[in-house]
Amino acid sequence: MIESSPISIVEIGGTLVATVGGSLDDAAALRFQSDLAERVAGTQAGGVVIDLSAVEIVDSFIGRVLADLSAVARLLGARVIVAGIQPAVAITLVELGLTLSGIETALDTEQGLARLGIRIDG
Amino acid sequence: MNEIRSLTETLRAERDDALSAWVRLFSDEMGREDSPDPEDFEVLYDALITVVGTERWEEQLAAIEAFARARVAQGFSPDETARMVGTLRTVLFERLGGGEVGDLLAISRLLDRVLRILFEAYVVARDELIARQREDLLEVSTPTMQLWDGIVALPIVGTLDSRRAIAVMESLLNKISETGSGIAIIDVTGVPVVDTLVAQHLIKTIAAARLTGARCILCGIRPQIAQTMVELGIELRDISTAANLAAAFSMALDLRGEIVTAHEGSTS
Repeated sequence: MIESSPISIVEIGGTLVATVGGSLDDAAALRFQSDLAERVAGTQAGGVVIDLSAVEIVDSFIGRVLADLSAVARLLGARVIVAGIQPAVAITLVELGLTLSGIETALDTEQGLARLGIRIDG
Repeated sequence: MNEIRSLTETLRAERDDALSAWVRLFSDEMGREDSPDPEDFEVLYDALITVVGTERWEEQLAAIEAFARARVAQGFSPDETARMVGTLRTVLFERLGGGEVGDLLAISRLLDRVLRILFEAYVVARDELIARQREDLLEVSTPTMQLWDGIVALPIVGTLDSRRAIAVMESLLNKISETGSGIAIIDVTGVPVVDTLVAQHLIKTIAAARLTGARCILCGIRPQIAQTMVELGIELRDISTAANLAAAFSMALDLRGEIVTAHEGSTS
């Protein structure tokens, strides 16, 4: 089950970068939420960047999980930035009434990291 | 059945005379100097012969439909085309006047049907034209442009209905993701009316842009519209606003931490 998960979480300089690949089903989303909470607590990360650039389809459940997991991460002391939401996904979320107004966003992972004070020098 | 066959034969026998009489009458009625293309008349006449010659003529109307579409495509006016059918009725009634009443009725019904088909063809063509122009307008009226590295601007001109609102949203979001811009300026100087629905569309667009990681600045709200919006209870509290495009652009440059200075020795 773990191998088939389309999500990877890596740590970069005290910050977690979670990359969500492809389609995200409900079970995977819930597992992601608990995995991420564990990792944030375990690493005491100060920030989390969730890269959604490969996600093409979302539904209201996924939208709600995103809102929940950033609230959870915030409680654990991490600032959450969602990066790379595709135009079509953004339109779907807004049409569903999920504007995720409590969550910070960034164009891509690099800018998300920059927002957290981590600069990647080219 | 016999009646119908005899009518076909009569039409066939009279073809050349009827055609020349028809073209003459039509030219007289239109008061035109140049003679019309006789081929159009032949096409319609021959289509009539085919249709009259079959019992189930409802199924044989493809030839007349093709004729109708061709007339529309060639740009003939509905009046001219209708007169063509009218003069044919006159010519045929004159020629078949001594014949069976049933024949005249059959011809009349058929020509009425031809008129309906022509009418339909004109309306369909007009509808298609309107649909195509609406599409064109939609594309033309939603140009998102890049103003600066990391800054895009979307001037909205005209009323923002639901159809356009979606086109505007898609155009803006695609440009944001294409150019990797962190700031989007939405200029509503050209929007004549902002009601709750339009405001809702704007709020949605701005929320969607924020989700993709871009910050929006709304500008160009006219004083009258601002008053209406406040009266309607639309205050757009969490949205950055600026008086006009210039102010919004300068705000955007500030946000990016960029400073623009005049070149030394500049004359203007």
